[in-house]
Amino acid sequence: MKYSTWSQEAALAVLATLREEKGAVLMALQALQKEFGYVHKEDVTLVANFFNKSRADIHGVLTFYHDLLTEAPTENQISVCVAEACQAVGSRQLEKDAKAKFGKEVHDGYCFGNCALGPCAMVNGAILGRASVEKIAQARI
Amino acid sequence: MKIYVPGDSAAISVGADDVAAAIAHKVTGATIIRNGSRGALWLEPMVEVETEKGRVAYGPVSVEDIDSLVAADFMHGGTHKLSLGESEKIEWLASQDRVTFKRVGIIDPLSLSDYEAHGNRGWDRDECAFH
Ligand code: FES
Repeated sequence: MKYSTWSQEAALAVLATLREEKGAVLMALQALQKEFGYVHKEDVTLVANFFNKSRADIHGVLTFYHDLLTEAPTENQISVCVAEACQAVGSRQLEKDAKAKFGKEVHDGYCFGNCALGPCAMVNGAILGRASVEKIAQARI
Repeated sequence: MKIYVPGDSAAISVGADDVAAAIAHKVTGATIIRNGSRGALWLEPMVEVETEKGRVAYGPVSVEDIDSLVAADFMHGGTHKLSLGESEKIEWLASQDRVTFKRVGIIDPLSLSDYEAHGNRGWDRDECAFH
């Protein structure tokens, strides 16, 4: 995945495409993440000014959703599902093993809707059923 | 020769795309249809072939099984360790009476003619019960 380098001008250009949208704070944060790979700390002020909201409002949205990143992403993005059905078939152990092997690439996920084929993981957007550390390793770039 | 390999996200999460690609590569003259899953997810990827006695299923199939499936002539319903028999007779499916999911797994979900071939004309204004 290739992302643009963050700059204030580039971030404002992304926001400008959302000028006509109402209540588009979440869309704006997603659009920024799509462009730069994460939401830069200065984006909070830019988004707040753009939508005439407080910085606290924007910070609240940004930190509520785990899918919004505040640091540049690792090359591979791995989520291991730790919701109930997957936990019942061993995803906590998978999460531990995956973290031991792939470190910061691994995040928790909360149900990918593939519960019947757990434990599940998501590697760079693709869902893996009956996941294992080996399968995750194969799916990484 | 029609071979069905489900193309829904659950089947894909356990390798259905790779299985479909391997079959396309190893079985010449096969028409591969990416149907929906019949819902027996523990058997996915569940590959079906059309034979004289109806559809016959194999599962769960992985890419490593394709060579031995070809050797067992699965394209014509040959017996293999993954054989599940006639799809319609798989106990879990046979005991169900499906309504909203009636066509899922049976037809090619993107084919209007396949939809019609199963006696449906829901898209046709004059035939539709709700017009
Ligand atoms: S609980 Fe893991 S996919 Fe639903």
